[in-house]
Amino acid sequence: MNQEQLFFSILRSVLWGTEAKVPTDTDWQGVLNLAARQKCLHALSVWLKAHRISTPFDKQLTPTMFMVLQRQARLNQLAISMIDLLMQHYIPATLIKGYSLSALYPDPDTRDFGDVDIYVGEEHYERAAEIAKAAYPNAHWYSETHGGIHFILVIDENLDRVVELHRVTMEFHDKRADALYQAFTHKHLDGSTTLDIYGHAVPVPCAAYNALYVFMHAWHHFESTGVGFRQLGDWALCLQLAHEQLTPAEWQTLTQEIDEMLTAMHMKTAWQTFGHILVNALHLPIEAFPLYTTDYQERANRLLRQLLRDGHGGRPAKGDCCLMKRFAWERPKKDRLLQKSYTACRLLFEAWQMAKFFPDLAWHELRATLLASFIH
Amino acid sequence: MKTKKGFRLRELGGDYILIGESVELVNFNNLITFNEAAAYLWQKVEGKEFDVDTLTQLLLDEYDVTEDIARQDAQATIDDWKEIGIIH
Repeated sequence: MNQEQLFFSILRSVLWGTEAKVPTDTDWQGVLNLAARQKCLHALSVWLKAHRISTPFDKQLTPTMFMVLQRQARLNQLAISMIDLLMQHYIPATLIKGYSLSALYPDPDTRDFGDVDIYVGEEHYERAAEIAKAAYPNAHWYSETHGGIHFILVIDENLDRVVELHRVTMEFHDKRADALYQAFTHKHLDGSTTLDIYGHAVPVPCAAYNALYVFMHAWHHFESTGVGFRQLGDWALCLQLAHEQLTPAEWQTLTQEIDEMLTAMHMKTAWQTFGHILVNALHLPIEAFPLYTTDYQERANRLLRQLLRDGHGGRPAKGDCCLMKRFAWERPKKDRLLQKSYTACRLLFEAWQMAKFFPDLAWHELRATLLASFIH
Repeated sequence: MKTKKGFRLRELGGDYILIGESVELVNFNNLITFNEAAAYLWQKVEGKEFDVDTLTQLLLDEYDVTEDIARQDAQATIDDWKEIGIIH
């Protein structure tokens, strides 16, 4: 069994509770480096500890693991406090990502997260930001990052207490695709699904919403600097949960909604290519993946190489010409003309990289981005 | 005396970590790990009134030690727990 096979075997055990046999002659440095690149180091550490499997790195891994567990608790406390605060001001707030995904794991302690993400919606965004700033007057804040999607409140950098208030969960240049996605969000993020966190009922997305949203978030990372298998594992769990919870008629409706949106976004091939990996590498049951096909097996094998090489945010600027690369240059700080030239070059470069896997989508995104820039 | 509310004792591969989880513990920043004996005592007295005699008896029930040693260990445990702020 090579390092990748062992990594996936343990990851599947983390996700589904299946058995994973660990060879006695394992090169743990290789496996743990791979896990770290995929943002799965904490998950593997907890799994190894729980199964009483020693590695030469236990002296470093164990204290870090325990600190992460305590950090998760602090972040959950922060999530509860912030959501209660917003609700007191009649702002509906939904905990997205983070613990709302950890709770799906057989052992929630295996899935770590670094901050608190709360969706408040377009209507309440400005007021929510003002309320949060007033409640934490000593916090640092950054507004309108990631293209205006969320407002970041750094309450305590030393203790990793960071809250992101989201105006939208995702945004698309294509107007029709964006309208469909926002309508999907309004339909499914209605506050009716809650999760018990330390005795508090915290609103979280329903399984149907996460079935699409978690993919979109993973995609956002993939198209920029790389996505890790932690997020793809999340997505697999969301799909499995949606398949378990929805009736056959509701599953059919969800599949149609997803099909319509993906077609509008030109992302159906991307969805199906990633889906091939979820089914074949992570062993998500086929029936739990909407629109599954084996048509893109070769592309999925290439994509898997890309994912294993990049990990989360690790896409290099140089390397195998058949794999995607990161745009290497920094944006000029001054000179508007240079900045515009930089943006144009970057857009073209990234479209070229995306075209290595999804040429139709690359062209569509480039066109939509240029049109949006031209209109603005 | 009693244990403070809102803690979860998590066992992982024979090690024990006490995680402060309730909102009331939001400013609790200690990282607390227990050995097996301390974890056993915590699990037995969590949420209940106890004193040094309680812990001494629990140690005598579980471990093959003399009463003097059990009492010393019980008092040391209480002193530790007070210092790190997990009992009142």
